[in-house]
Amino acid sequence: MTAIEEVSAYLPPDRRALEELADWLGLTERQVRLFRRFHGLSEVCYDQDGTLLDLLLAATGGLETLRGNEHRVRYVVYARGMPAAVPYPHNPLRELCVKLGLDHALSFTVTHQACATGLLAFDVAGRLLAGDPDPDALALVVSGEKTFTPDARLVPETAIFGEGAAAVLVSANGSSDRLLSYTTSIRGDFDGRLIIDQALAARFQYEYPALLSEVLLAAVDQAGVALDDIALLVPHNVNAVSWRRVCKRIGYPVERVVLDNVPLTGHSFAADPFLNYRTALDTGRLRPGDRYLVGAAGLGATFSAMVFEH
Amino acid sequence: MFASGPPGTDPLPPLRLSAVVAQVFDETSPTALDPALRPFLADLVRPYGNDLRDDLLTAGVGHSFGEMAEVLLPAVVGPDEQVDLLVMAFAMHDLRLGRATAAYLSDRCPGKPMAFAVCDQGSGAAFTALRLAESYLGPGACRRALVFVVEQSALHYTQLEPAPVPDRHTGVALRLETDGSPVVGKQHTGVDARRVGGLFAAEVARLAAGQVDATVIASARLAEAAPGQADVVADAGQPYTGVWWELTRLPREGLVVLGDYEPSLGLLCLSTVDYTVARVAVPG
Repeated sequence: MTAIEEVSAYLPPDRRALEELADWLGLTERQVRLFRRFHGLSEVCYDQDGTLLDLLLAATGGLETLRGNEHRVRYVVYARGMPAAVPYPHNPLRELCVKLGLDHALSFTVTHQACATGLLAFDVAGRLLAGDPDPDALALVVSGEKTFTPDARLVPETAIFGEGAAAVLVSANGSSDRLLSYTTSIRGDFDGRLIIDQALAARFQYEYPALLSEVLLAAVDQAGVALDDIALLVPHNVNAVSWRRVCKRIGYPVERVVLDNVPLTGHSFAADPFLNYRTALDTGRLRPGDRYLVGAAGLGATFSAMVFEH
Repeated sequence: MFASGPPGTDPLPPLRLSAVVAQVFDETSPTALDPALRPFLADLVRPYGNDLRDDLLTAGVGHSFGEMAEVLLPAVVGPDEQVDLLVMAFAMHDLRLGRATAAYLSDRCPGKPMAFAVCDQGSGAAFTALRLAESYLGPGACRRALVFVVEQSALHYTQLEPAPVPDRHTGVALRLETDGSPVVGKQHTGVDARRVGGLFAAEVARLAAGQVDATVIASARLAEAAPGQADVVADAGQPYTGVWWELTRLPREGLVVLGDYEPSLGLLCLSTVDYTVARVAVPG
């Protein structure tokens, strides 16, 4: 059964207050106030001088289990939200593999599910491992992106992107954090650029809580558990208010959603669920046997959820 | 909605090809003159030092993966045939740089399937897409999948590292399900140029064992690294779709072995389509 072996999170130390970012993001004073007071954002972290490779190396550098086990890693999967992020044929993922001594692994990127791609990459890794003849084989999932263009900096009236990164070691037969279910709903009718299409942005905002709620509840159902059995909800960091709405809709206490990073990091593309898992673990909010729900949504649009048992 | 539990470790049923179509697109996408293209490209290349190609930006060249695949879609699947999975494979990026094209196509596809893309693997992405399709197909949530292999020819900036750039816009769509001709894949990593010829020959011999009428299709790069082994060599101008394009041009007979080599990754990929088991539909 697909399982998390270890998660490493990297949050760059350069944190900028929303007011400092207003000009760069093209935000008015009123919009900054709205993000701060209504959406619960305060600061965003950036790796100003670092490259994409630096981000991914920083995340993987924290994986204690990787050292000495490089030979077991058969697959390296990059979960990328932005469909294009570097000039062709530059391949930071390959550079990462070489630097980590993983150039023997099959490496590729999955994308086109935007910020829900992290959960996809985890599922893909699990499927590859399930078909691998070596029961000790591992997969490495990495995520984290640069805020290199306006589309990768802001979702109007919803989220501000940051440059956190995460690395996840995945096994086919682990005993901790076992995957129980995965649900995803693709809504390609939300194709477009929210940053310039106000009508699309408004429709997305309006339908978002119901669509995310639907996959969350379906994942719980698919896992064969009840929502009351879910000890914790590990979210993506778009904002706090959207999670309050989703929790109200599905009848889940918002106090059990790991929202600690929302005011501090920004929305780290596909890395958020893993960053927040790390936070939950480090703050002692996961006990053995706990079932927890992970949720993410991506522009374009994709809504996804997973249930794990810790 | 796609819903699954953890993947099982029981052997999966073989992936089967039930239809394959391909098209070269001569026209240019209107996206080539989208005013959003230049600023996005400028942001994309700025940290790396590539120069924008004003001549190409002004001329308005290139094509969009979504528009190409949308044309192929009705040729490979009927309006009442539900698709459960859609995977897009590409190497050089799309003209519509920010679009989640697989998600867009899902909305145009019967069944509104689970959809994603595979990239950053050169010519290996198409083979990985097939491998992933196999991992999702089975008795559970997925019974029919589409894999699109796409490439377009416009690169609007100077290239700083060597890699092939297609000389035309090509899309290939493969339909995979539980009925059809079995497809078997194999990927070898860590294959340097000195090893590729011997390894390819050994794999072809293994895969084609007992088949008197096997046809070997190789990409131009593989044929150069492993000369004299292919019956059909794909056009170098179709570096990422070429072998799949040639598959659509062959008679649906015997065993077909497709091979490609991505030297930048040391990746040798092979796939077989066994037409002796079941014939593949030729839509249209």
